[in-house]
Amino acid sequence: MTITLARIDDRVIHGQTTTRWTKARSVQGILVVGDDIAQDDLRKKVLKAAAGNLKLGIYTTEQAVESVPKGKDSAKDFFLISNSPKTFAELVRLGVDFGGKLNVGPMNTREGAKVLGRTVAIDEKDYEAFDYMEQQGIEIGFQLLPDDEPKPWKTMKAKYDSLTS
Amino acid sequence: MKLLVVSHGAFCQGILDSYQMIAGENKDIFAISLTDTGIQDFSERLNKQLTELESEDILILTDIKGGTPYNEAYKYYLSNEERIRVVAGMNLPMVIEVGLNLANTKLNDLAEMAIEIGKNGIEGIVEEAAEDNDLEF
Repeated sequence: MTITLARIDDRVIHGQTTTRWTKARSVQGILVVGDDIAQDDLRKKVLKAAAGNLKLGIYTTEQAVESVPKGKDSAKDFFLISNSPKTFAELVRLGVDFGGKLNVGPMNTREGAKVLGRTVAIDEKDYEAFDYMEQQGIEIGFQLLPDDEPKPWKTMKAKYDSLTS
Repeated sequence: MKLLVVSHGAFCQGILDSYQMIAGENKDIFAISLTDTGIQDFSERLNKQLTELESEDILILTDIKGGTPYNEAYKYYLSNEERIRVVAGMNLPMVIEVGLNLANTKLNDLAEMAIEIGKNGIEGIVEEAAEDNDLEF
């Protein structure tokens, strides 16, 4: 038993997660990591409601250093979700092992971000985070839904680079 | 197994659009709407679609009981009872659950699932326990 899905998703827990990914992968609880989320009581309440019947733990990056290995070594299966690649890069930097694979879901358009696909926009800091994780041997797949073909970071990186003038 | 969603106006195309946003493409779901062109045109399109799918079991979800989309679907059901089921009052939770289980569920079970999920999908805000993290490893 392990972390069955490590995912970047700027909507964190929503319809695609609860109707599709929970059917495609075994899961008993969701670990959410993000300093911004962990400090936002309103957002935490909304996430708790969105998680429905699934157990939920919300952690700062610092707390996650302890929680993620517990999840990985548990007899249960968990999803690990953060809203930013920077958080995952930080976990990798801190030596946290979440299984070596990282799924990327919706990352919507923000100021300063380049649009790489219908649901993917990344900025320079995101780019650096992905690049760092790839160098550290993390297998990154951009894949909105379980049926979609995952696209590797290499493909998205080339697209980002081609947009740089 | 196929799923057909029918409605007054664009509701059925809209709910299919919402379905796809959450659950992804599904080639086994079809939408037919009653428009200002009236009942005859609707009935022809409905029957044409159902005839094309003659070898299939089909669950038809309709917007409201007693409306034309329901009535025409019911009429078709009466002469094809072995392979058609009709459920009125469709909502998004219903369409998602049924759509995701088309390939692995029998027609009668699918119709029952639609009714149960559809009803359970309607609720107000439930006050959650105050405790933040209820996750145990």
